[in-house]
Amino acid sequence: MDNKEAANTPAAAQQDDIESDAAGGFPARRRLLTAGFAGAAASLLPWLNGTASAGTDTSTGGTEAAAPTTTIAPVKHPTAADMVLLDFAQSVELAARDLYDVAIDAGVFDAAIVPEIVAIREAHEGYATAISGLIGRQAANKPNAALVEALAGDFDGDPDSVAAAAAQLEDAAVATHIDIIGQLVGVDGSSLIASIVVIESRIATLLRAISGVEELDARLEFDTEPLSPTDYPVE
Amino acid sequence: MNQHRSTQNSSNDHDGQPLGDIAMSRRGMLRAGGITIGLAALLAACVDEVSESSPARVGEAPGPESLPAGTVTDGVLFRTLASLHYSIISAHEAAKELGELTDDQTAVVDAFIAGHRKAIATIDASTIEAGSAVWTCDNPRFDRVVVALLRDRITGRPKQGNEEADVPESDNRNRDATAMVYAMESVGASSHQSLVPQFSKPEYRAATMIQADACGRRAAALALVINPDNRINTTLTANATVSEPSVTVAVETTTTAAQNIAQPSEDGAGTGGAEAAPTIAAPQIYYAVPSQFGILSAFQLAIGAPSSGNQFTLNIETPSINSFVYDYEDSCV
Repeated sequence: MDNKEAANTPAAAQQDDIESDAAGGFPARRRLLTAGFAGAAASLLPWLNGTASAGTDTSTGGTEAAAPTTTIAPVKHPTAADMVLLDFAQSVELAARDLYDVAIDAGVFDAAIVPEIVAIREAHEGYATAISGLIGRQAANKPNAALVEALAGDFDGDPDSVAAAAAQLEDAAVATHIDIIGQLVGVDGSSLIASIVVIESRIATLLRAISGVEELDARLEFDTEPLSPTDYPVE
Repeated sequence: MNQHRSTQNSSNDHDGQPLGDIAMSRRGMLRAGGITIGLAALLAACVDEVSESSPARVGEAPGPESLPAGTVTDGVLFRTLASLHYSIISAHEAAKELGELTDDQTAVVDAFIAGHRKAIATIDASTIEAGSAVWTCDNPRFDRVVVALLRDRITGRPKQGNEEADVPESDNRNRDATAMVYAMESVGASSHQSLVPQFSKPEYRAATMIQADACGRRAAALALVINPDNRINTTLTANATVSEPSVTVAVETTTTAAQNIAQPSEDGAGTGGAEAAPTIAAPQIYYAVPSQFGILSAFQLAIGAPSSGNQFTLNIETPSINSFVYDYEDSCV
């Protein structure tokens, strides 16, 4: 007989009964098994807790645990309010394109300058296309008719005056875009408009030179109010 | 068998016996296991999680000082931009000092320096508003890796470190100094532009773009001073005539020129594309309007005396993590 058999002897059973009575009726072995199982379950609590945290982290893209930053990540995509602002910016760009078309079709500039004016015209159309790509189906893709109507007369006539009017238009576009950047929440829109501003400011300086302005201060001059959607509504 | 039974009986009645003489039973195993697991669970629940990665230390030696945390805040970005304007002023002063500028060119550079001082005053106000202390001197890293290097290319110097040859003095100081001023203004514009998505508030983004606009205008004005014919990048004009059917003036359509990367480009001023190195025969050209959109790639500045027909080209980057002026930096040493 081995130890297993010894444990099942009447003496062992008697001992179980004694312990069972002392514990209020439950056999001691069962009590021990219950205690062991409860202990094992309790020991798993920290692990289960860790699993739950990881699950939460995964649901948020893992950004909370990955970067101990103290600032909130900025919004990337344009918000609904951003869409309205970007739509207005696009209408201004398309209006600029149409105004340059007026000058080109009227044959205002010398042949040597026309490719550069066309390049500026194409740049504005490119800006409108880029904005359209950002805001998608909500893009109106229409020029700002009120702006075209207000300035069309300035884009036909003496080349110097037309270049000066074009420089004013570029300044207005820059001022408008900076004003819009100050309102945009999504940084995708801000970044795009910023990449437009730095070139339009250069174009304004170039157009002043083309218009015959010689003084440096006058070429660098920039004191223009932004265009308002109230004055130039988007159709 | 009798011996085993005898042993079992003695285990149930072990009072007064040495502990080592008690035989192990199934019941005892279960009891001990349950208690052990229960205690382990109790300890696991109560213990503090400590992740101590440093090894134990012996002796009185002071512990190594850790670097302060470099948190990028709006104030840090404004401080960095202010430092960049100070560095640009230093570069402009170097151009005046070393570049053999004409009086007209000197007047232009002086006007630019005045513009940067105005910009710094505005940026300082934004820095304080953003909760940081103003920064009152150059960007240390930008000076070390850009401005000092550009000065060397103009003045020349003996070889250092593992360089194979001396840096030769510029063969045309005026050309290189004006190119350096143009590069600084262009990098100033792109630096402001590059930080737009990093600012947390829209009003700060607009504030930085006001300075980007000013830098862009100065760069364009200088390009026209260098050469009034350098108005718009020829790549743009070539492409523009292709997609514009309403143009009545006949313009040569060179549509493949901009896409043929094997062909040396006339464009030089930091367009971000694959450019051929500027040579004596085809020096770098700086345009008033170099590209359709503002680009954030490194500005490629060709400077110094040509070696084997090519000029040295330096890639000038916009500020990033390693050139930010963090809040813990509190002195201009």
